[in-house]
Amino acid sequence: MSDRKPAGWNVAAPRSAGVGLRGAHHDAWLRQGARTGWLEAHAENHFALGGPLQGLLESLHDDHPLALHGVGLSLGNLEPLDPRHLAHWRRLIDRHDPCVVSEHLCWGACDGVHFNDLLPLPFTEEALQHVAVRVREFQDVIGRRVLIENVSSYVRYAESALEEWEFLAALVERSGCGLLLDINNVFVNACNHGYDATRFLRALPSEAIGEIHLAGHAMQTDGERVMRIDTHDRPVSDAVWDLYRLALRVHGRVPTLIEWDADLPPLEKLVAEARRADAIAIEVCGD
Amino acid sequence: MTDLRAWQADFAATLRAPQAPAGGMGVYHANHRANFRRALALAYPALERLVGADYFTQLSDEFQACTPSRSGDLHHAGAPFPAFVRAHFAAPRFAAARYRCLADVAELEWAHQESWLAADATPLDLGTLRDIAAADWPSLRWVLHPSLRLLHLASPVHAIWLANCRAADAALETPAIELGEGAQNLRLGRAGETVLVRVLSDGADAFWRGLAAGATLAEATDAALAREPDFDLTAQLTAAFGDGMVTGCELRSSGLGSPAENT
Repeated sequence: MSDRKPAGWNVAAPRSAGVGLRGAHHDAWLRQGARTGWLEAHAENHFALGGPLQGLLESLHDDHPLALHGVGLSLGNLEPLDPRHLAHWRRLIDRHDPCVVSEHLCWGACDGVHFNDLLPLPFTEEALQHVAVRVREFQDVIGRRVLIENVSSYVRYAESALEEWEFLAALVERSGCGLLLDINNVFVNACNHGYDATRFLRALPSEAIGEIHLAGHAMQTDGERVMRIDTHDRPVSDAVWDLYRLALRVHGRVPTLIEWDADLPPLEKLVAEARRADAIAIEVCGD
Repeated sequence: MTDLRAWQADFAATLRAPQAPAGGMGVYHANHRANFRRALALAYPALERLVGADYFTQLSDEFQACTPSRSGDLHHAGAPFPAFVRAHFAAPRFAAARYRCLADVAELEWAHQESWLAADATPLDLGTLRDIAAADWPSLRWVLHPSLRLLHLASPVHAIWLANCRAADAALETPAIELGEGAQNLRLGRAGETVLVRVLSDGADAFWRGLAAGATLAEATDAALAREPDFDLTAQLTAAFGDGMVTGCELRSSGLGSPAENT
């Protein structure tokens, strides 16, 4: 690990739930000031060298703690990490000093072609070794601990030697990263691949979980098979709220964020979801 | 790394194949195209409106198949799209002027996106010129705002673009669209939170291209007058400073090229 650890190293997001910042809500945020505990912006949406989006983040950061969430680094790619992408990350972190930096456990490019999606990795020792090296490399470049998020998946590598939760726990151990636990993704995968979501949640190391994501998902029928798709286009499902309660009982109170990306409702609806998460956290963990 | 490499290569080949696979891979196959199309539509809203959502999807799929994303940041994927649109609508069946203008609209929209995302710079106040002796003005070279883009397009796209991406804003007056009007020069540049799009005369276009290439004020003015005897230098200077397109100027001693003054 490098010596470059600016202020903000391991700073946690606030206890009150936050929501993901999306373009359609920019004006609403600026008009009405603080409404939720914190905000999370997709890093790549703010990679530009200048322009109004940089100023927007600064204005919003005046009223809200800000987390940066990457969707495009693809730590599981076999090609080297893109130095331009890393440079943008460093510049963004230096400028905005986010309370949390996170990325995904996924790959997204092959032979120079990018798919710009969060593609699942096989849970093998080989993949684990590879991603652990990449996570350490990313952490060294940005001088911070990163939280790695579990992704939803619609296919499964038949020869995976590890369960997903074992892979995540081992990644924490080998890379020193933390975890961004997406409970909707746990539920989607448990349904799609036929395992027990509560087993997944209980198996994770509590001390590593720095953030929880909650979002809505859709169901799609493919012949006889019903598949759950991580669409982020509707409220959090009751089953996911139940798993959220369990996660808080097992791991204690964790900074929580509501994600909503498609068919965006008015901001008030996202804020109401965040308040619901707060109420559950108080009910389970006390004030 | 054989297994991981083989897994990713197989996965990638399935995603890029034209035929959608069944089951879970089909979800990724669709996402791959939908994510790309969404990013393209954000950069090209007027073009999407002009050709319609379904045709835009077809254009996006064809463009992605031959020019896939090369970055984890999808904002770059649309850069080669105007050239693709130009080649697509060069086919004989698209000979009508209403098709020919589409590539020009695409070019304007990409320049708009570049201008919107360009680096910040503080505009120079016109009053700064008062500190420079009038006799030195012809030798001044301007430093222009990083968001400045100059376009020369074969069709009168400014009105078409205004009508198709900003029609919802009733406060904006949309000029009449005359496809027969011919070529158009445009200057784009960001001022505050807006990208200003200005139509330039041929003389003004020569003036701005001269400045952007590092010509002195006198050289750029000469180039403008050669194209347009009635070129109005005062109007262009007022517009340049009014729009915040000048961020610095330097005075070089004739022939020496060393900056005597830097702002």
